[in-house]
Amino acid sequence: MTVKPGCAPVVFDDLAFSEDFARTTEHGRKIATDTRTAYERDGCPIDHLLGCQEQAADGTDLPTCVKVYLPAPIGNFGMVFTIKHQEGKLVLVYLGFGVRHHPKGSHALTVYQIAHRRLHEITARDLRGKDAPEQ
Amino acid sequence: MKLMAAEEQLVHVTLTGDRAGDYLVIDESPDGELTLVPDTSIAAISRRHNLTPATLAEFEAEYGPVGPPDGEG
Repeated sequence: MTVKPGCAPVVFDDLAFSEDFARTTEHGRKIATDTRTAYERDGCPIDHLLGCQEQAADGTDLPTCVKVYLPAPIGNFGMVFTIKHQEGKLVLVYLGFGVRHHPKGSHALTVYQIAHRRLHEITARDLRGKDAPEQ
Repeated sequence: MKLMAAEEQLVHVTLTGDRAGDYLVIDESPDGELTLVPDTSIAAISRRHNLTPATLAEFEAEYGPVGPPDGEG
């Protein structure tokens, strides 16, 4: 994969992406698809990346993870990546897509909770659940 | 709120054939019928894509600094 200057290559896992794609809204699916297409073509712009929080207030713990807000720069959706080596090259690895915050009272998972569960290998049944309506 | 580990030990299986890959058994009926879901844990993703561990410091050394955590997650 060749990426543009100022961008990093991204590895998308089809199974993880499909799981999140099925869970989100039509609006979310368009954002996720457009983002994946752009990142697979050009890479992810480094200046869009923010570090993730370890021991965040919502109970998630995402060390060695970074995120983007979508649509950039401050959209309601987010994508979280972890960092790995692939064939000797440093890459961002897709860890989750979803809303940053759910409406009060919603029990659906945020992008941080999705990423936390994948990172800590908590693959519970409710990862398969549909989101509550998103903004 | 603290996220809790799964209440039960999930069984991992690897399928080969027309449908291949890492799956988790999330239900087993008395007659032996299994309900499977794809394993999307980072361990399974790493196996599928031949990924090995790296650090944020290594990433920033190669690509430049990322923005600091903003306290959201």
